[in-house]
Amino acid sequence: MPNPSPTAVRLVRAAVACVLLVLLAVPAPTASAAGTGGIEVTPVPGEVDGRPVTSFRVEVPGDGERRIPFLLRNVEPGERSARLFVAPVTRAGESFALGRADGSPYVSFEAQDVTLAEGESRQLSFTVRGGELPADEVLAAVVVQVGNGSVVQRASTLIYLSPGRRVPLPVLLLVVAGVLVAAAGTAVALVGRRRRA
Amino acid sequence: MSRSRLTLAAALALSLAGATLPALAADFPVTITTTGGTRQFTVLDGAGQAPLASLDFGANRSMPYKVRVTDVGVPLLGNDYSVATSMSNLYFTGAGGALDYTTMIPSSSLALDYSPTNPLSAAGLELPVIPEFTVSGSLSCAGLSPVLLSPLATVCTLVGALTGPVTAPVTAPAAQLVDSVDLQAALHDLDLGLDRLPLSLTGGQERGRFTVPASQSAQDPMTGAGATSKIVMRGRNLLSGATLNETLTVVNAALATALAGVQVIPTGATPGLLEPGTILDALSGTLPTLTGLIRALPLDDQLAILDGLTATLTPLTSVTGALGGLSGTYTASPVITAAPATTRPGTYTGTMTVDFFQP
Repeated sequence: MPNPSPTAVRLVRAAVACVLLVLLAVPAPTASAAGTGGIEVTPVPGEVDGRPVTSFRVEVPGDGERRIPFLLRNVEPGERSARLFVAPVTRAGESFALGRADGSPYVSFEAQDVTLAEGESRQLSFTVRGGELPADEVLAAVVVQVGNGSVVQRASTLIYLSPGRRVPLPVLLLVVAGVLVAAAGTAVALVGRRRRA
Repeated sequence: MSRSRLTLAAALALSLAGATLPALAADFPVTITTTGGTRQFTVLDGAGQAPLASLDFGANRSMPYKVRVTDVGVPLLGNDYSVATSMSNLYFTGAGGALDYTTMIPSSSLALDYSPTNPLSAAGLELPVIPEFTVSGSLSCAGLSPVLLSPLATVCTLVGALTGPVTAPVTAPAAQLVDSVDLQAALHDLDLGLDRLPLSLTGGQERGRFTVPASQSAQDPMTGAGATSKIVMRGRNLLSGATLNETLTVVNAALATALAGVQVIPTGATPGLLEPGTILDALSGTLPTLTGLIRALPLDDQLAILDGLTATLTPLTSVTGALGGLSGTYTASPVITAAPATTRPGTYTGTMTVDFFQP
């Protein structure tokens, strides 16, 4: 290779530096949302351990179900409409693929068309059904879909499902109750022994 | 304590346990506070001006479009995204718009590529995703390391005094041209480093045919199961300030090595060569304040600042708290091309689906 160009080096470095400067220039937010057509989905709560939450991470209960709240917002001027649904997601390497609407065996949400006025927010929730998860990664997504002629735009906020507490609640209650009874009995015995002494 | 009191305490403890434990599995009220960033993605026409609504391949069987992700104050740490495109078959459209699902241009005849329309393409330098940034708020010098603060001091002062684009006369930098081929090779060698920056300059752009069709509609016999989906853009953000520091160190070292052989050629000596300022223009995009500011200075000062900005960036971890969010747009310019078809002449209808994923 020929000799270096200091100017080229400086300019490309400067491009990197510009990026750095931009990073330093924007105030810190506390939550993040993603969407399309002006409508965005924000997981709730929007921040965990001081870090912004950008996807759902849900423990699937052994039985029963959990409702997971999220926020829907219109972040653009004027009224905005979109189709909202939940679908399973598969991952191959770094690529994701969206399954059919309402196709997840673990997550349910009644697909619906939503219209939000400018600046309007609405809290919704999806339901995670209890059950055994397969060993493989289980993903789903809350999807905002906007159709525009022959083009369909879908913005998916991922739901990561992981096994939750595996001890059934009645068993857990019995164990805790047993421990408490044993503790109370021990306390009674100790007091009685002191009195006898 | 009497035995009756202990019994009462035990009973109370049990009742509390019974009352509390089921609540662990129940819903609870949530207070929502959203003052954070937004991220919108949009599919636009080839000019990037209007939402794309139709699939018009024209006489040259080519349909350029743009995919744009717009961030406003998005959290910087660990906040990635990807955008992928899939295509249905194109079905013959009869009178009244009825589709003939037996006469089609299969999706496998359609292929994804990328448009040579970015500002650098004239010189043969292809950046598949063009980032543009808008500076908002104020540049904070607090917390910067003394080493970094020194070269930034002038810029901080000037930027702080500005409220709009620089209007001072622009002095063109010394006219030098860089061999674009060498520079392209140099940037290619930097893939690893640039790919780890908060914006995706490289990586993620998949090409090729849509082998398995997506579904055109609920009536389409093709269900879309296993449809070919090709990534057109991927954004990878920081994991930490330390990662950025490490990355910039790698990039700077790689630049020094990779650009060591770039040949400098006098102005206008050879057509088709790239002016270095174009790189800065393209990469800084809508960053008029900073680029204008730097260019308004005498050449020696420009070079001193540019060089000083990246001279030493350690310890960057001290400014992690300032790495709050990112505002800007990322635009990819894909093109879908159709292979020559021998099917029945007429109008064909299909659906392009563009999926954005926020992991």
